[in-house]
Amino acid sequence: MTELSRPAVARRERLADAVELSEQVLSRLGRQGLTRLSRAAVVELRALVQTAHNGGLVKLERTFEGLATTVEHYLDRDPNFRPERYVDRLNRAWLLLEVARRVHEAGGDPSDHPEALGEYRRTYVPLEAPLTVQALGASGWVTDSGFVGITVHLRGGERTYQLSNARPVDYFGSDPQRLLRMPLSEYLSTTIQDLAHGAFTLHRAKLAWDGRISVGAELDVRPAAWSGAVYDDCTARSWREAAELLRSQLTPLEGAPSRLVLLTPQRWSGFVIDEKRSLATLTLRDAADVALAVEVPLRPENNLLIDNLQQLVRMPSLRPPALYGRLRVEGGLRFEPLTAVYGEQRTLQDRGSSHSVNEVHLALEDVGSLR
Amino acid sequence: MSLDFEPVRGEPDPSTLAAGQVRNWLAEVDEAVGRLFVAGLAHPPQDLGPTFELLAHRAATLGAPTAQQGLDRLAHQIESLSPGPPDREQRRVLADAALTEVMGFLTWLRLFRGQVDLQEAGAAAEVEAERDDVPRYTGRMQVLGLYLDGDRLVIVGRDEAGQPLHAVDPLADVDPLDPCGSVVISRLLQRPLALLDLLDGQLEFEGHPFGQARHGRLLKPAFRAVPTLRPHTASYQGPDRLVVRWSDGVRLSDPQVVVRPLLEFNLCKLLCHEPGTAALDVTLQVGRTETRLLRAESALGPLVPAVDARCWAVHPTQLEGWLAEADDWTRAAASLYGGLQPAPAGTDWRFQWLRTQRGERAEPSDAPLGKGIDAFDHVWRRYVLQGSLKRSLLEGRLSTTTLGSDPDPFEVCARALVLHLADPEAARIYLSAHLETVSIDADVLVWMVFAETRMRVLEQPYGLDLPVHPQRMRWAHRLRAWRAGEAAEGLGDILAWGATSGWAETVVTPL
Repeated sequence: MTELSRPAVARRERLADAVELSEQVLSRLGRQGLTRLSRAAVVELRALVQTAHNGGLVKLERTFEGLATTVEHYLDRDPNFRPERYVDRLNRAWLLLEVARRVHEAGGDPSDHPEALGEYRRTYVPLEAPLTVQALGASGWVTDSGFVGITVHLRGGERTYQLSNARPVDYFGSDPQRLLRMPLSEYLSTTIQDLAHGAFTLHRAKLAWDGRISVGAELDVRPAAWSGAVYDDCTARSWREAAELLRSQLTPLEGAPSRLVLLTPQRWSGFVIDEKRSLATLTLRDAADVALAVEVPLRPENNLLIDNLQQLVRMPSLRPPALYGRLRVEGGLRFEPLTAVYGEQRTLQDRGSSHSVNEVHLALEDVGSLR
Repeated sequence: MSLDFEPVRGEPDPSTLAAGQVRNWLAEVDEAVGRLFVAGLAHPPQDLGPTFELLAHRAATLGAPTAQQGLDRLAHQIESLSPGPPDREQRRVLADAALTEVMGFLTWLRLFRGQVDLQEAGAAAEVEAERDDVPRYTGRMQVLGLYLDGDRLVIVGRDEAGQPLHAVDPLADVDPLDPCGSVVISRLLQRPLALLDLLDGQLEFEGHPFGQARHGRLLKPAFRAVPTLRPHTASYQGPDRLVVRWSDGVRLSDPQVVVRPLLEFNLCKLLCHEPGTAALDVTLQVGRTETRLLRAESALGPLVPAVDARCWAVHPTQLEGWLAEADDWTRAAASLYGGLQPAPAGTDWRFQWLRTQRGERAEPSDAPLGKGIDAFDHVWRRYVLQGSLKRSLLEGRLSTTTLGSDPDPFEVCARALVLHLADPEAARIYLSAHLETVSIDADVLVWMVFAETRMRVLEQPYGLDLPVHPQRMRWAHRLRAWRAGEAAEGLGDILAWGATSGWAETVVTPL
């Protein structure tokens, strides 16, 4: 057996410490119950966040953060506290700990299992062969940590990829639309909007294990042939098919499954702004008249998305035959649309220029400017 | 190592459950488990053991034996803890065992809940056929010809009954000045395509949605329907095909065909070969306001002179002579550069370029520049450029002695090229001294020299995509690198080209 290097031995020791300490704290939480917890438990959980960090257990670290917040809510008598959430986080932490223990017992390293245990910083590997991808949809987002960005979801071969552009809110504001016309990098003339509407061959791309593509100085982007068939693997003609698409995503670790799908609604109705739940909702029905709830959180970066959905409900002529977005199951199917997909090309008027597009990215482009 | 994680016993099987009752049961299980973790496993409320037993019984009634077993075991362990042994260590051991049990059950429950949600969503009635009230075309289209409207290709054809059909295809990766010279990406066919292949083929459509336009049915790229291109050798012999005579760009026979710059230039070349009057067997599209030339027949096969700059090649020597002798050679150049890019009045770079060539200082517009620059791989454009630059030098406009105090960047580069022939070091010093003042954004001609140089040195088109910001950044990086004495990529190529090009014959007074 090969002898481990000194840093590897140190990593293993930190992993063992993290597993042992986490087990002790979780057991104590379970034994004592919330009623016997004090502020010291929150401090202990926050310290455990650091321990998990040192052990390379990223997902566990984040779960402990959530757990500490939930306990704090309980101690503060916060109305946001939900016992189910506490139990769920405790269970998730327990599962992640079980995986970490198995990795340790097998002599492995958490960084070898980023999909199960997470990773701090993605490792991007250069691709030798060109990668041909086509945009499926795009979303705009703002993080609590102060970043605004756009993620373009791409399909290439049998895989789905993501290419993101993120900028600090302090310098670029909190409106993702402002990034849409930016070049992918200072070395490329292709804008994010270009990439979000077509097919491209990426030369010298770098790829992470989870399908994220890095935009670096070496990346070169060339147009490629577009195909409607890229949506085939994620298309659901009915909500029954949509549920089947989710079934394969159901795992004990992740719980409620979600995935990006293309839905073909037959009827749209009931657009409501639900301020109590901070959601914009509407109902999509399939050909069998089964309802599916669309839910979009009321956040500033979703303003255009919500306006677009309202327009689509109000103006049938603008409605696309298909919507691409994230479907999840949570007490029923819930759908958050990202992109309206049209069967024929439409002209999108955009700041004096016009583009022929099949897709309108609802958080980034105004569906009302379609001609 | 496998990380397949199965801490639960038995597969979630919601298939026998009645959905409405399951929701109530799940809510009650959640509530009981929540109470357990609020109170603590070491001190469970006394009523929780019977509660879990009851829930186990209901699980059995609902048809979930795995849940029943899990809840039974949980109830048993909870009961052993309430009131349980007084010894603290024994209580800890029992509580830890109960924790393992409840965590296993919760993991099962997590999967089960997802399965129930999915089953409910999938329990709806079978989907009926999708509503489809879109008119669809199934049949063949014989391609009569094509023309470009910006980047959109319009394919004109007829169906099997002879009725007009049009297809519109927004092309990608198209060289707007030489679309037939390379493979373009067709959105209609959803694949790369050589445009001339369309002339030799027919398109087969199946269930392709269409709309009505002025000229007849109009087909656009569709999401699912993709036509197939099949070879078709029989040439079209309909009423739209006739012989038209041309003489010096003037039509001799009706109908009046619209002659745009590229077609005009091609006809000029045709007339180089056939002085006087040239006869052309063409297929026309006669519209209400204009008549388009869709294709022309030749001994080598069909041509698209309104689209393809390569029609009727002229020998380089002949073209050089023509350019040298022509009174209005700029018109030919304009035809080439202008090609297929109509631009609003006042922004068309080719005319500004021509004005600059004539010594009229004009601030070039950079809007349509990139597309023009990209097209430098065509031999005719190279000759025209070279000819025009030579002429400028011979006429002394680019001579170093006439260079003003605020030189045009093109002049700077051109002069550096000439200087390089005599003294490369002097050229380097000269360029580094003057390019500090170059405004990259507003300079068309530097790019022309640059692109041409790349072509000459590398024998391949340089994929300039001006004038967007990142390309200018790239240009700026190259300038900096060159000034720092790095490899001659980019601007350094200009000097290399000077040494290899025919400019050696040009006599210009050195500095």
